[in-house]
Amino acid sequence: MDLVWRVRTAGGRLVGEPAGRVDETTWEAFSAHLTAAVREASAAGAPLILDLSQLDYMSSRGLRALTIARREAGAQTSITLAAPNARMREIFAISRYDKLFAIVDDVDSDA
Amino acid sequence: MTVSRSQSDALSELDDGARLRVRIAGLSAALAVAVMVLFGGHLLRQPLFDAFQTVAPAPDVSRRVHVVVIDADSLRDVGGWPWTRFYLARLVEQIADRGAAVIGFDMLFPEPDRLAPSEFTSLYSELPPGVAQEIRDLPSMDAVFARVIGRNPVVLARAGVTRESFDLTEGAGPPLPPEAQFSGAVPADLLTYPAVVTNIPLLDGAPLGHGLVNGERDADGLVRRVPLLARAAGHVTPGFAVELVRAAEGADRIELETRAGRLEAVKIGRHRAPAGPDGQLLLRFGDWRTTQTTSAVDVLRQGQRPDQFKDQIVLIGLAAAGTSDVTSTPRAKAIYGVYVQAQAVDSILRGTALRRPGWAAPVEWGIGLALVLLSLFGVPRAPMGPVIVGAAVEIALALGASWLAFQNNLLLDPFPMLLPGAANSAVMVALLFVEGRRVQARLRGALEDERLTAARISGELAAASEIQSGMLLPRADLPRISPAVEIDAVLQSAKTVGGDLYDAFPFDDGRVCFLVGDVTGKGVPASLFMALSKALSRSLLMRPNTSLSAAVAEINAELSRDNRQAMAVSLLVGVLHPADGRLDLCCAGHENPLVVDAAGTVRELTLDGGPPLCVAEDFPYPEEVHRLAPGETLIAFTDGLSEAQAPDGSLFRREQVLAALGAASKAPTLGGLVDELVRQVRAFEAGGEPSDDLTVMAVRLRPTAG
Repeated sequence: MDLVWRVRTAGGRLVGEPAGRVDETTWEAFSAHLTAAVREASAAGAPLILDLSQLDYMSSRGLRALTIARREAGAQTSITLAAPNARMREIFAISRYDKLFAIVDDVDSDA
Repeated sequence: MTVSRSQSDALSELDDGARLRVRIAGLSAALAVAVMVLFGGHLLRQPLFDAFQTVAPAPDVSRRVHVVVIDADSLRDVGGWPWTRFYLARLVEQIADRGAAVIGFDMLFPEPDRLAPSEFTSLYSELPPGVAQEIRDLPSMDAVFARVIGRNPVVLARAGVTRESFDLTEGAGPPLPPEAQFSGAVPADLLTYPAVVTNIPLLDGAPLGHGLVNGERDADGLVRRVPLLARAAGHVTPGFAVELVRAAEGADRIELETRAGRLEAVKIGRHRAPAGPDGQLLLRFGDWRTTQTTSAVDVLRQGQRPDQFKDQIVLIGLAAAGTSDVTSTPRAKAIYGVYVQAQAVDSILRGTALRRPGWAAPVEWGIGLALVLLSLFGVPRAPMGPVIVGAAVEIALALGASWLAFQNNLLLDPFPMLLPGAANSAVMVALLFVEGRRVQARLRGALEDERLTAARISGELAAASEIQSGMLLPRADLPRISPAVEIDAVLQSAKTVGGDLYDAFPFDDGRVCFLVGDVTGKGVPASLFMALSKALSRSLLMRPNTSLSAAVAEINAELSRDNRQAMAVSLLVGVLHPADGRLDLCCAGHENPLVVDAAGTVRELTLDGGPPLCVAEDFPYPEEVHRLAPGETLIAFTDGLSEAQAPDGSLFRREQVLAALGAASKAPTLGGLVDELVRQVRAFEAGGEPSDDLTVMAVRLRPTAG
């Protein structure tokens, strides 16, 4: 399955919207889009919201992409993961990424 | 890869140079064959037309043509050949009396009658001079024959010969000019004989006309044509058949139809016979045995029908064994010459000689060129089947057209149409096959390379696997780590090698440290990172007076340094105090461990923990204290277990994990428990390829003695 990536701005925040799966075949594209979005958000001084509602699955490769994004963002830019499905929530829990990223139920929630 | 590929695939994979080579070779072959057909085509054409002659005979010779043969019966009843001219004179009279339109002798009389009185007296020199004189004064039979010839419509034969011919009579004067008159331009290509064999002058001056009885054999010894006219000893002379028709029709003139200096046809009265440029008639033969034939001896007998020969053209010929007038045609191995002449007469009467129309050659070569082009562009594109079918259709059409034309007395040569294209196709198909093989060889070579690469990669993977397993404590060493704590672990590498690791070692005070980890990523980099993680972990964890959380933080800091590939490793570290079952745990992004008691009840040790190592450099990993009761077993594992997949894609669900562990805990030994758990995971995967390493570690307190 392909990965589709869209990005939009809403209320002074940059919202990245991946759709599909992040796995062995798509993680590099996912990572490239994500890093680009982080840079865009940094340049704009805006927080980045990653809307995961249309993402079915994320493997450990996706976690690696998040790690890289977090490193790119540094301290200035916040990354918020919004609306992950139950399975991704479990992955975030097991990997304790929920300790690194703010995870919210809804894109429009405040980070 | 399948090696079989169709022709068109093979060509599409050829480079431009190869494609051009194939086309040029095909064209060259077509050209060479065209030249061969141009110069040697008769070697193919002639047998084909001869075959047509055999299977498609001309209609039977018409009843207007009548052959009188001096056959074996005639020789038996009348006497041996040559007959005295008396009988020939009588024969003429009998035939003429019965209504013949014309009588032609298909034989020559170049010598006097053998019963001439002068011949007789020269044999008998003892005769008294008076008697001899009286005999000499008797009229010769030649004179009688000449008189009969003069009174009746008779055509005599002439034979065109070369000057060296033995048939030429020494000292014979120039022949009389032929009686027939010609109108129209005499073509330059006319068949020419330098000399003629004629009859003795006494006879030669008597008949209504003269005709050439030549029927020249082709190189293969077969007679296929007779001259309609030829230049013989300087005179344009009609052929025997033409002259017979002219005499029968009462025509004075023979009209020559020419176009651009080439003879096309000969017209005699209402009859028109197609002619070759050399003035010859190309015969389409019928069955000579059906020609109306009467034996000469029967004609000489009285009592025949008075209208037996009414209005007929009568040819008298020799048809007895031992006579020299036997020839061969494409239809008949042996045929009496008079029947060839009869066939020629019939052809002229019907106007149905075989001919090669002027448009034949351009059409044949035009079709040939079209088929070459079709082959040139069609063969490389079409698969073999349609090419063969197309070729069969072409052959059938060309042969069919040729056959149809022959039925209509036209000679169409199918070989210029077919052979150049066939040569082109054959050479192209052969070369395409060769070039195709070359392409296949190249593909095979590429496949070999791929295999070599794959082998190298798998060698790399084997190396990675070796690094991984070489770093790990052998399973057999695990029970010997501590007298108070029992440890067992299994690590099974997936085919592509992940980066699972485990380790266990005792502290001097009897505590036992154990850890299970999983490097994200696969292959050699993951296994090297795993080796680094494991070595670093052990050295940092073994340092005395360091808290677990401090050690893990330090491991994290060390691993994060210069980690350009952004690799991460999840780690669960535990320290078990055998004295009271205290269990210090530190979790870096790893799955929570499970605890199963003696009754098979499973609980999860929920840990706060932190992200995997190398994700957040300065994360404060908490040390969390739990307790392991006697009889309880702690199970630490990696995602090879929690993310096992069945062939249908479904995952090993949490409750399935718990149930599997509950069942496995019934095993009598710790090793049995671990093996059973692994077995259940593999059973769930049902032979599918596991996507990740599987590690299961079990830790429990040994039962205290007493």
